[in-house]
Amino acid sequence: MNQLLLVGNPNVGKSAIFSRLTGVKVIAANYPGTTVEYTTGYMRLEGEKIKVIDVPGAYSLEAQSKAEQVALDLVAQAEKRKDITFINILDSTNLERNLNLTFDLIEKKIPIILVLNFWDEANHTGVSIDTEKLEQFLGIPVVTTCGVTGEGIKELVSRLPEAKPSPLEYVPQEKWLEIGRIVSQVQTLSHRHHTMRESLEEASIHPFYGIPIAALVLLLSFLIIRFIGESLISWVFDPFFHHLWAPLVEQISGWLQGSGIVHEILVGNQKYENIEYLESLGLLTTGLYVPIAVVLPYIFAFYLVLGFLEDLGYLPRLGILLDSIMHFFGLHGLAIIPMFLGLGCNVPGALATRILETRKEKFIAATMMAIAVPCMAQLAMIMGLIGPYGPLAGLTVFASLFVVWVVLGILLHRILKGESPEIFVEIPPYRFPYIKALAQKLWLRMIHYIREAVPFVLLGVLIVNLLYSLHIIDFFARIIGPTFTTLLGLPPGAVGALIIGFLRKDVAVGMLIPLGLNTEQAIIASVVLVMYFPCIATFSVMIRELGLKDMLKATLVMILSTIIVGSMLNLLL
Amino acid sequence: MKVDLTRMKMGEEGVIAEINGGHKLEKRLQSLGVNLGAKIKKISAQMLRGPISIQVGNTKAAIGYGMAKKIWIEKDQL
Repeated sequence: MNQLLLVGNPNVGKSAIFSRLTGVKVIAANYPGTTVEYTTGYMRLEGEKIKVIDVPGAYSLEAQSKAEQVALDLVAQAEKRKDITFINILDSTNLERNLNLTFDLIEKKIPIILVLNFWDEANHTGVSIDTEKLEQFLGIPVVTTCGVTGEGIKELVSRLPEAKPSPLEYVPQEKWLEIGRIVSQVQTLSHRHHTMRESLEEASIHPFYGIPIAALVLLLSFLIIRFIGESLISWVFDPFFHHLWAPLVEQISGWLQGSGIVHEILVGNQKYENIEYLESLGLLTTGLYVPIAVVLPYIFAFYLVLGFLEDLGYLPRLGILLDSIMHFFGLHGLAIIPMFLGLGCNVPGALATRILETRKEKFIAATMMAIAVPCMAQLAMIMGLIGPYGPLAGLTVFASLFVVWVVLGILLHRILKGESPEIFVEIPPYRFPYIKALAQKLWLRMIHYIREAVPFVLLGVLIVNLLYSLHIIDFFARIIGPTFTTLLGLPPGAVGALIIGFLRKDVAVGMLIPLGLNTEQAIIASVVLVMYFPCIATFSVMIRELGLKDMLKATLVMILSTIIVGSMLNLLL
Repeated sequence: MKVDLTRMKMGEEGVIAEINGGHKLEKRLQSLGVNLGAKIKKISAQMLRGPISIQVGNTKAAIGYGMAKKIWIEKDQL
């Protein structure tokens, strides 16, 4: 044995077991389809280094979705080799359905070890399984685990060498009968009353109570995100930057005598005392303040709430409730998941369009998200920019984007040919998030943000300074500026923000702050900056997901809709 | 009495008698344990011909209205 393949239905806790075995941390969530690509890691077994592959969740080996196709290909490759062991992970609370995939694997005559995960949950919910009997029936080792706490992982590792092909033979047409026969002999269900959890589960997809519950969940999420974000900014990050960091920057400004190209780049266009972090556009001022003090608190707050909703299992339910509405856009309810993820960062949002089946769906969802869903970095900056103009201005920005989102969806659905399949999704049980896993996921996402965003923000600020000092922004402002002013009512100086927006949208919004825009201009500029083009990171992911041709089409839609919406706002406001 | 899934009331149970959506739909449903002869319960239905939520065994799933129309349930066999 020199390779392990982790296979199982979606949402059976494969990723948690994978990270237990390999130490590789992966982002998991309580809904089907989180892992669409496979992850590889390594573990040590009896002094040997073994490759471990976390295969995307599959209900069967018949490739009905993209994830299942990936799973099928991996299994087909593995079949040809003799040295691969399959760890088949099952949800103990759902033995009968999970055995379907197990039987598909058994047919392949490959070495298998069975893992009954969520063992503790099965016990709590009155499901008991006789594992010894199951071992006898199938002729392969069976171990029980609880992936989140790590119980049973040691036994799994120690019994890995026992994995073998199952001797079981059955008539393929009678697969379900055979499964039913085995389950009836190994599993006993004790009767129990409706639990509070089940009542909540049913209420949240109830035709009448579901919508108010969803509204409450979303409102609460918004309030919590804002509360945590603002508290962190005003109690932690602002004091740090104003009391501890400012003296240092002021000193550096003094050493550099408040002028010269080095001063421009490091400290920016302000000097000595009372430096406005948002306006000076230096690496040590705006370059650090924007990603750390303005955006990071909101990234933290957003991913805390999102992670909680993901692990709880709420998102697919939201998809079910919104399904009828998403039909107007040629999508089904699950398309709300990429939109939701896009609010954090458009990159994972674009990746999540993979849970949709057809090219048309993917195109519509990705384009709607890239155009009308601002990422948290941009949102935080827009709130900073628009805040001083009062709540009505902010509301106008978000209402405009929402209208764009809806109208764009309807138009794209009308214009584009192609299929829009119906929703078909397993509804996961509510699981109270395991705090350690939640913290780990949050940590991974924060690290990812800091690693990806901070260098790009610094680079953005550097480029802004270079472009200004080489008068390139002035040059563009003179060429595009007049059109800009006539169509959108924005000052020519805002052209610079559009150029930098390709790199980082949060820096771009920051560049608008020193321009002294009036209310209308601030609204238009915010909307235009969200819509006109995705940042470079999102753009490259979208090319990969949609293909070059569709991405070119999407780009055309972006530019056209930005011009139309921007000039309409200019006329109306 | 046989009805399609959309005509069942919330909370009603029955046995799956017929799946009229062709081989592909049948296979897809099967992978979730939704087989001919299986006991099925309708949990909820969203308004405006929205998705139907069902429970088979310990699995809960939501399927589109169009698919639900193709699944016929025998209500009296329980």
